[in-house]
Amino acid sequence: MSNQIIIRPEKGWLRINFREVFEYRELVGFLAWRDIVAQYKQAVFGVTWAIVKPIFSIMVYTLVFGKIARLSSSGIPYPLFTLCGVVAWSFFATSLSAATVSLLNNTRLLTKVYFPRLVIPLASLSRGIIEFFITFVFLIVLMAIYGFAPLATIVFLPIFLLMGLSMTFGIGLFFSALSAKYHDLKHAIVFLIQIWFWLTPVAYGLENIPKELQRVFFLNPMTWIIQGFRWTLLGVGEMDWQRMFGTGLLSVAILLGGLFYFRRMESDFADVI
Amino acid sequence: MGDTAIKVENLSKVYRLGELHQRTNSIRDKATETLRRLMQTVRRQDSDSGGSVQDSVQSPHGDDYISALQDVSFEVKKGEIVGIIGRNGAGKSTLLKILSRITKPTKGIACINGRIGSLLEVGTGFHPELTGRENIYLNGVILGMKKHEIDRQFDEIVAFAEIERFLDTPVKRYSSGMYVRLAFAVAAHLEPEILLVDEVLAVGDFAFQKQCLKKMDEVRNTGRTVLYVSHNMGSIADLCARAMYMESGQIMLDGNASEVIDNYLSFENKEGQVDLRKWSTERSGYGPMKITYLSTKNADGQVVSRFKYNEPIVFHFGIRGRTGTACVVGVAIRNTLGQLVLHLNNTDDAAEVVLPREESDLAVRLGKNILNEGTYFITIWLGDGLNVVNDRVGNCLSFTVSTASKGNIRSQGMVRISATWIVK
Repeated sequence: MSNQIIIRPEKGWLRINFREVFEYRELVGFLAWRDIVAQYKQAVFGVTWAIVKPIFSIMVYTLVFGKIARLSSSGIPYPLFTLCGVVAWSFFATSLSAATVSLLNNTRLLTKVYFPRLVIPLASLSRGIIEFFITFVFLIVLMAIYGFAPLATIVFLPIFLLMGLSMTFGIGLFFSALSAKYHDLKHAIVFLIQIWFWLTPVAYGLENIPKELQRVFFLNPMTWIIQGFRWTLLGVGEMDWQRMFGTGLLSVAILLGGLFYFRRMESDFADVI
Repeated sequence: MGDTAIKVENLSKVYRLGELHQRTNSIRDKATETLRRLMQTVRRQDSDSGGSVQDSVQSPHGDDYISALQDVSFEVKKGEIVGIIGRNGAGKSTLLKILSRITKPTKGIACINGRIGSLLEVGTGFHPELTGRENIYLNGVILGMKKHEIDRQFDEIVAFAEIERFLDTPVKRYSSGMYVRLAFAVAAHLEPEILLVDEVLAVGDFAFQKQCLKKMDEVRNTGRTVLYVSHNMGSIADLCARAMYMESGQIMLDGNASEVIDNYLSFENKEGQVDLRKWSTERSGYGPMKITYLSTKNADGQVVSRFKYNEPIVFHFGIRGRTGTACVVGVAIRNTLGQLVLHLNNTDDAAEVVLPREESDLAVRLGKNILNEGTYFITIWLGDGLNVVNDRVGNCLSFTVSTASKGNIRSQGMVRISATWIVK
């Protein structure tokens, strides 16, 4: 059976060929593996950095927000409360910055080899995912230390993880396509993520914000994920089917938005990067 | 589609300069500078060839457009090996890029029947921190091979690259020769039905180039379709039965390889001389000496490019180097079939070449009645006393030798020679 390929001009909103991306799954795997191995090959501490960073972060947040500012953490010990948020947030931050620069870092591949361009940002998620698992283990350990047994709500954890993943990927796709054209974005994204962090209830609980302003926080898609994550693990905060469904809908919408934007800009990558 | 491998109809590719002006300074400067250079190459072809092809068009909004490809149409049957030649900026790489699906055409359509493997660069995706073994897999998968295919051919690849001992060393420790051999070894084991190769043989030393050409030759016997872009006329003549000459985004000639090469050279080379100071096509060498120009002159000292069979040909070159350096100079003359017809070397003639000043001129005289009728191209190289190649420029100038119009006195051999005939 001969495979025929037709090459013609492309413009506007296009269909996404998921089957092709699946055919290239080996490439995704190899590129992901390459990023991880290359990073840790010459690093002595390598993997430990993934733990050290959150430890220091929660120490600072506990001191500043827990002890000095005396913010509420819904009865949960401050370090545990913030670590829960930090684990989810770190995944978002790491993956978003990795995805944003992924196309730029693979300029040679983009201009010399053919493969569905989605492969590159997809592979860039690997680091965030690996670091997430490492810090998650650390979180479980901390939960055990504080005597927190997993609750029934933990059943929903995979759902929130999935939603967080799709939201992160969607936003990552959007920024990666944009930075292919506007290279300065990779600097702006660092700054953007920092500000975003403070506007999300990671280092502090949402209950500290006056009720009227809490709505504003829900304009931030990451708030939904962090709240959901904390709820499944520690039973903190309110959650109902409505909100869960809303989070799901939001993450799917962001993912699709990112996918279609990426696909639309895809044909120009090799020309503008 | 039957036995057609590639069918291209009215393919065009236009780059818009205007949209790039919206970027911030640093990006805009970089982009417009690159494209301005491209435009200059394109404009230069206009004035040189006296053609009226308008490559850069002003739109009403003041944007500049560059036509990298204009209405290109052709068909390649399965098993054909087609060479693509042309100057830098002619559109050859753009054509391959579109056929490799790396960039999209602005207009037109291309139909490909079969699995494509593109070799637009050697060693794409190699990561310096990874070992040879790891890079073989990485590079192989990037080029489109499946892991099990690489597993199957792993030992062959390693043997071809001759790096058995260094398989588990990070490639950043490899010499450039090893690097290039490994990169080519992986690429050489791609088994697509259609192969698109873009000037990748320009890297590497002589032994490596020979190995590459040998491999390309093997490909020829496997019934694969190949599109081969190169500046190396010899390799095109050797490997390809058919060639296309591209200029300013269009196909000017398409036919028998030798004929196309002949015609290309007459488009290219004007009146027997070439300034080599900034020439970069098919050039290599470790310096510091440099060849600054090459010209062909007749016995009266006039610069010409057409010679009669019974007149001597004098090759003049300019050499830049330290006064007093003893040089070894070689002049290789090849015909349009890529065969080496003559090789002149000052040491063969026991002639010393010592530079009298920083910018010296060397004249090498080839006697009359030696070369047969035809078009020839000249490769020159310059070495020092230690046999290190300082500068080498391949196929940079051509000239033709013609036989007299009365009667056909073309000799049967590759060269003519006078002998003495004595009757006893």
